[in-house]
Amino acid sequence: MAEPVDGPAGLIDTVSARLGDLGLIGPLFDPAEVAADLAERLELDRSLDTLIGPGDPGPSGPFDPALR
Amino acid sequence: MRTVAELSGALRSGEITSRWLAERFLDEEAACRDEFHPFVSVDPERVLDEADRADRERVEGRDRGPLHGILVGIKDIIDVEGYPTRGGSPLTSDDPAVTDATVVQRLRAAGAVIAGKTTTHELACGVVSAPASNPWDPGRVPGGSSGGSGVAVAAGLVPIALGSDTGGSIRIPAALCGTAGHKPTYGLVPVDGVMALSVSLDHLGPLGITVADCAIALDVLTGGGTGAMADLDGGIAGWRIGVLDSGPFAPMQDAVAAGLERSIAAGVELGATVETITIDELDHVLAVEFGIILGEAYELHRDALRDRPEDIDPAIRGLLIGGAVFPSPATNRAHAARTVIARAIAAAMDEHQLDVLLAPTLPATAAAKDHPEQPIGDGIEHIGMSNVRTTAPFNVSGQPAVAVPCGFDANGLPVGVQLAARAGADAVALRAAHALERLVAHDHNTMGPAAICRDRPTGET
Repeated sequence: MAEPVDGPAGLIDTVSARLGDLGLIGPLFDPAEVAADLAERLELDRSLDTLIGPGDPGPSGPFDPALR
Repeated sequence: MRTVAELSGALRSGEITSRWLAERFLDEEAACRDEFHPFVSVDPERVLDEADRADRERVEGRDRGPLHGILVGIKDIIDVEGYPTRGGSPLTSDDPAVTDATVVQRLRAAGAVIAGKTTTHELACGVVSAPASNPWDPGRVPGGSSGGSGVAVAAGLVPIALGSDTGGSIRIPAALCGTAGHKPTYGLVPVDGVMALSVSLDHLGPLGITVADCAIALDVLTGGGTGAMADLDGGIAGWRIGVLDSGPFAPMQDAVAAGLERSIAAGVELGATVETITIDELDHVLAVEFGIILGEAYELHRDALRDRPEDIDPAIRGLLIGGAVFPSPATNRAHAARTVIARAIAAAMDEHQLDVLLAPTLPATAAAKDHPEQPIGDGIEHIGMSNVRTTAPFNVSGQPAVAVPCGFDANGLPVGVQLAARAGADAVALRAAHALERLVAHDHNTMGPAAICRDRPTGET
């Protein structure tokens, strides 16, 4: 699976932009918290590599810069 | 007299009437409402009217089948005309549904009396189902998300209640409340008129006092033709059972392991061959389950997440936000991996020539309401994960799985196992569960917690 190559700070910036695009703005949408949660989920997702291989992450919109 | 067969026989013989059943239900539901909260909506006038209609038809010589005049609970994510569908959420409206979901239409056509709407975990996304309480110990959770249905059946208020199962939400409360519960093959039971959580994983099905109750309900919910009832008493002599006790099924509490061993012994006693198998692909089942749910749940609730986030439970909100930011390639990978897992299970069943799989329904008994983390094996697990890791494999694969009680732990809490068959072979799973139930679940059916509600005068809590 694609993974962030520019570190947590880059992921937070990407998540922040994504949340903004979706209108998810305010104290209930903390980009740092969401980024940490996303990093955990992507780690879990990486376990799928054993089932289907790492593959090509493909186009992922605003995530490409941070997750490639 | 609790099961559909017992109640239906008494109705047909004239020993009781549906009106009598309805009045008993209303009395018992009122008596246990404040402590156990099995239902969120009950309309006594409607219940009595429907029961009277069933009785009139019977007097006129019409018998619609085994559910004629029987009360059934409906999870409050399923539309019932005249009742609001609240889904355990402030996001929903108090306006009543204008039509019945297809499954409710089918229940009515079979003569069932709708008892009311059962408590669900918020948005059918969780395993607590507050404010419902476990009928074996009100200090413990009943499981979820179909928790109220589990309570209603276990307490003997109704013999059948409908639930939904996206990651285990029928089988989890069935296991924790000590009832049977059937997650049918994916797509077998129509879900229109039902609040979705994850359209690729959502299943509808029954919880029942016995497996036979579930089989009767399945025939009605599917519109007939499953053969579930016709095959139910065929036994499992000569069958091959594959036991799953590793991967996501391990570790498990000692009482659960003992229940699994009892079930294995019962299978052997009934003439089946039993062998333990491993399916390595299942180690990744939670990545698949949550990878799919994340994106699909977000798509369903994206407007609410944006406009009314404060009205969503923080844990569910976190899941939905995760879906919002989860990259679409990851979701695609989860869908691809789902197929890999389904094929792996099918291949293992082919290789070992298995008729059914046997596994613990859950790795632990009901958690205390104020302690969502439980000791299991050498570790501590949060019920949000422990209550899903053993059930999700059959949501991901789409196979039918039937939960059946198989004993108690040292605290008197129910323990359960599940029987899974190949996709489409619901009758096979029900037949195996029915056979085992006779040997391992008799205590649940003879000393169930119905007395919790039944022996208490109305109004006393």
